[in-house]
Amino acid sequence: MNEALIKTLAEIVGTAAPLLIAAQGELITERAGVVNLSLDGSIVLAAMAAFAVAYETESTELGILVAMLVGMLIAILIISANVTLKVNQIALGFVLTLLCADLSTYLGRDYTGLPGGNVEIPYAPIPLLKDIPVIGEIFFRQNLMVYFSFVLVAAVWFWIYRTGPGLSLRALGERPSAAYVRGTRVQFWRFVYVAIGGSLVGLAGAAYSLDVLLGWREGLTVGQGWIALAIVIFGTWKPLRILLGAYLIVGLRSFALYLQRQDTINLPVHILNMIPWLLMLLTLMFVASGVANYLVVALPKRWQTPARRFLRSDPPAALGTAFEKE
Amino acid sequence: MTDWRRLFRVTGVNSVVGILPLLAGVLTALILIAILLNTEGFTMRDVWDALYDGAWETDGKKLRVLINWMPLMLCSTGLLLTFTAGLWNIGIEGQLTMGALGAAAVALFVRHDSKTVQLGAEIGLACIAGAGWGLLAGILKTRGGVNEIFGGVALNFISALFSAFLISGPWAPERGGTGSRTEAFDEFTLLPSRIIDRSHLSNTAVALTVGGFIVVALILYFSRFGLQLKAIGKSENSARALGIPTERNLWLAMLLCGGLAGLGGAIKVLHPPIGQLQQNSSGGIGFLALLVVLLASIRPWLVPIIAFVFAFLATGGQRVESSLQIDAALVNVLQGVLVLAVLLFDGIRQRIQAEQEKRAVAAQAARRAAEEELKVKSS
Repeated sequence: MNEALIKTLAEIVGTAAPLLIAAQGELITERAGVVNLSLDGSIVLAAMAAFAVAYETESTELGILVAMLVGMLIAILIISANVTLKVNQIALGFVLTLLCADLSTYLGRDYTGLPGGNVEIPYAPIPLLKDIPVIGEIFFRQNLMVYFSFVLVAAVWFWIYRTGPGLSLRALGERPSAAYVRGTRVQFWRFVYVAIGGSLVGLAGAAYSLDVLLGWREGLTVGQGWIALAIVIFGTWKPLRILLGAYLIVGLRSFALYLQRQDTINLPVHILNMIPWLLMLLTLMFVASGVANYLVVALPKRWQTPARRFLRSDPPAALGTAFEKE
Repeated sequence: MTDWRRLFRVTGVNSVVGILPLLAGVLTALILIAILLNTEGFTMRDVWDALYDGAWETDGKKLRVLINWMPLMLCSTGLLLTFTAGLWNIGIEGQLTMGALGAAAVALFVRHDSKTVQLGAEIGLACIAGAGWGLLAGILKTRGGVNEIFGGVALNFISALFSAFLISGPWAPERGGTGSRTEAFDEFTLLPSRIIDRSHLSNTAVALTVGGFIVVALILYFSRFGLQLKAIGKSENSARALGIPTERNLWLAMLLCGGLAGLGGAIKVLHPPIGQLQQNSSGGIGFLALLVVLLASIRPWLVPIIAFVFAFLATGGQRVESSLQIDAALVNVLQGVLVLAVLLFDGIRQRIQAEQEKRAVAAQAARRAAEEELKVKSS
């Protein structure tokens, strides 16, 4: 395979890692029936905190830890206020989105533009695996954060679909009252999953400021949180599809950049950047409207059921609602 | 004669308890900000002086607050409709942008002899563009299975990119384009304004803003459509079961909200001294409007006041930054903390009220049981 293409693909896998981690975090949260809408703010505040702490203490690990803590605290604020006070999750999440972004601007003003060379997450190719042709070059010449994103996807998939607690997790989002009757402590487990999801979102922030976009400036990651939220919907709340979605979006973005650099093709970059959003809207509409169904019927019988299953996009039924014992 | 008690009841003006969370939130936010300022070596007094100096000292500065107030007010007014219907119209930012684009398109490329017609076309296209963008989010929701929050966010990004494309490409000034603004619109295409103390004021814009608010408030308080929106907001399924055309009403709410936001965008670009389309013309006004309406807990009469306070803070915030060297983001932090605190305090109030009601019901049941027992005994 051509050198440049492999390099581009490796770059896509690397830059998609934070997006992937954040989207998996949100997936866990939403599967538990809670919407953490604050992603865009959480990520930017966690990114600022990670860089500031890592810079001051010269410890990358401490920066990552603090970022995870920030993400977790924001998520805990949302779930606690929702459980105890019945405050709307969406409203809270939205306010926190704006508040955290402003806080990051205010608190991070002394860290703008500082060099981050000594706190960068180190490049760590995996011995043996890195020598596999193509695959090794794309996937195994990255840093620990990127490897973590692979492991995370596999772990989340396994947990949700292959374990007992994972089944309870799905029940939390689909029908918490049924889970409650089965003996699951709904509020407790929601709290746990939301906290874990939040810390992953925080980790994504650290991945931006300590790796992908090394350093800090105002609004460093603005927009990424919304993209992560969109990827969860686009990936129909399934871990593997979210992986594909994240790579697709980042791939489209780097394709747009590539086209921009070509002199022969003169497409404005702004129009190219619209493509991911248009694509997501159109896909969702295509699935929801009847068109998809007509096409499925036209398929051979054998393929109809798998095709239906593939096209199904059901959000967790109890998403965004507070649970109350009857 | 108007029954004033009824008016108070429908507007929620007389419910002192309902306002308590707002007051508690204001207090909390002020205390937090005071602590934050203290660590920087400033007092609230310094910030207040800077705010006053930047946004209130002279008539001209007051007018600047008013100019910032109008687009924010129009967006908040529109959001009253969608929030009442239980919709999270986060796409308002994009609706405002589309309105600004619509107004700019006419101002840049169409010229009519009559100023009235010219302005009418500019404002009309702005409203249509905003309303269309709002309706699109509504259709995506009810027909496309795209949640209005996600659809709105996507449409926000698309409109922002579209605006950036126009400004840096087809609408870029012929000479000296920086990719951040179009050419200044011709004086003739701008809103007619008077100059008071070196600031502009357009009566038309003020009339449109106030008029829009009054119409929406009347719709919400007194019309059948307003009542239907309230029913949909409480429970869409129940409303549908009662025969309310929910889809049509939701579309209409989105359409009107988008139209008002579009009008806000038009005022933003057509009100002197701006008079041109700038990159990022929405500037977060739509998001700020969402905060305004959340803070007002969808009580219309509170909206103008809160929007005014926010406009005052936004105007004075720049002076805070320049004279005290405090990042203007602090003012936004203040607003965010304020809304967060009010949401939490409102949750506490509702919880206390619910417990009180529960206790009252229990007490009543106990009394009734005792009476029954007495009756049985006496017979």
